[in-house]
Amino acid sequence: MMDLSCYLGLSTILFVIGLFGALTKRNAIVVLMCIELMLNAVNINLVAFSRFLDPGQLLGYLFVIFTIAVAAAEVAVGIALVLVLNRYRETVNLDDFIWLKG
Amino acid sequence: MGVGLLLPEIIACMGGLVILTERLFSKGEPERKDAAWFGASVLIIAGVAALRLLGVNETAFHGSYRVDDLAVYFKLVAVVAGAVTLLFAPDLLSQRRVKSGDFAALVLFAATGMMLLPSALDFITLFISLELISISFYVLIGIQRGEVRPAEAGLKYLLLSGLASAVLLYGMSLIYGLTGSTYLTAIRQAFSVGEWPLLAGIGSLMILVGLGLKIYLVPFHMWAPDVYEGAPAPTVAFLAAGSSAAALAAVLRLFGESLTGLSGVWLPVLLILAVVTIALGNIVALPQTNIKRLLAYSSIAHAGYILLAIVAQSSAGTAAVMYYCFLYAITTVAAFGVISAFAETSGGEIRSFAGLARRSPFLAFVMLISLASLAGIPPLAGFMAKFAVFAAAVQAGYVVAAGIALLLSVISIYYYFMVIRAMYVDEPVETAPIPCGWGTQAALLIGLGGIILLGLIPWPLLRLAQEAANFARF
Repeated sequence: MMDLSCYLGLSTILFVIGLFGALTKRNAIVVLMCIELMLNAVNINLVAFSRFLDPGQLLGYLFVIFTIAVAAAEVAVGIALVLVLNRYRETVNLDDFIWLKG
Repeated sequence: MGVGLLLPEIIACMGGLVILTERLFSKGEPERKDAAWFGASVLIIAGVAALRLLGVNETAFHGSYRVDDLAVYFKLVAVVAGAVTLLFAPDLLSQRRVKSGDFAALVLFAATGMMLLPSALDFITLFISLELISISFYVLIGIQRGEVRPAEAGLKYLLLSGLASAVLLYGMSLIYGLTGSTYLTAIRQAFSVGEWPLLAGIGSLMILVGLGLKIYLVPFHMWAPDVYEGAPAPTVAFLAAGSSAAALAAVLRLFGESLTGLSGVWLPVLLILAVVTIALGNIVALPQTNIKRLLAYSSIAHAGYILLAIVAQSSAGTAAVMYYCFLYAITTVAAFGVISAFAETSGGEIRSFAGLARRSPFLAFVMLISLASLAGIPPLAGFMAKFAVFAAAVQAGYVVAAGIALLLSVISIYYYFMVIRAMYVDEPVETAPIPCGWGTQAALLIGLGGIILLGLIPWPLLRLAQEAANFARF
């Protein structure tokens, strides 16, 4: 039987990998994937807390369903924007976009 | 009462759906402006429905949704910002071949989120409302086809905002794990007694980071100048006026009412970041040559002033935040109304404002009044708002921070007057008057009236804010 700290450790590692990737990768699609990784770390956290800390309640599971739905919506818009940009520039590399003034 | 409490949001959301449905069956010529007028009237009806909820003070849906005067006040800010934006938006959008129905529907959905957010009393509702605003804005920023900059700005906002949401959610999940609840009232009770673990402090800071992006908190402000420059002016008007006000309402709820037990962690961080935000916004605004980038840094500086009032942690501070949000909303919408009518066709360089007073005295006058109000010149509305913020900060004992802010706000007069000088002193390059549709004129008149009237007679609004703030718990 695994205890809560295993799940929390896994979610922390996933979150840090996602954060690192999102801040360093220059490919728009990869950055979107890294954000998804971070959101999934959150989901693991919520489910683990819900399972171990208040087993009778569904609050954590409920939150996860909403996070998944919102993440899907966000990625749908993100991919659409990447597609539009790809049509202009034939690239998904963030460095090739002209915005990076800071 | 239950569902009746949601009436303003239901009206706005249904209005958006009606516009979308109508777009299915019509060709939707870009020249048509009726969808935007329809959207504006829907928002006004929603505003009337919200006004009827003043003084209701009820909690519904098992404690996850609360309608009190503070919430109603911020709903009204969203309604005013959205309705005025929809008045002047179609003039520009029809030039850019954007169908005003698409724009109006998205504005209504974003406004629904902005009205839900100040009422949200649990993490799930709060997160959903926040994302409703964000996702609408990803599309609103990149709505203009045929050009690459708006789409780039939209993607930049999406990536940074998505990252911030993930951090926000992780913080929320930590707080949930420690308290076993997502309800703000239960969390407040859990942290009100005894020691709390280190993770709770980390969680509260992660929530601050997540919301910090929406309220222009330095160092999470990087998106603002690029998004302001890339997005069409009506989108920016609504983003600057509505989105940050709604997010500030969420900050008031979360940090003022719920995470008060953890204020030892986040209060010093917020105080330092507020001062840094004011300093960076005002100083980086000085060398800007593009009016939209200038106003982006000005937004950052104003967000800093508002955060100073939040740090004050008093009902006077809350009242100052509310008052400031309303005045800032009406002033920015007026300024971006002028930009939408004029600068979007001329690239938005401050140079191109040369001699605007002779080409189009009305546009120049509205810009003059709104910039002077942003600079905090009495007797305009911005002065009263700044005065309320600084008074609240001094009352709470943050005299040094208020002094720094006051000094920096004096600097800000310089860059606002650079624009005014260009409009009134410099020789015009062209002499042709600027065409200005009646929707734009109406929107600018509303903005002008709001700035001047609320500056001369601030008491009704200030008293409403104070009463709402007294009722909100501290």
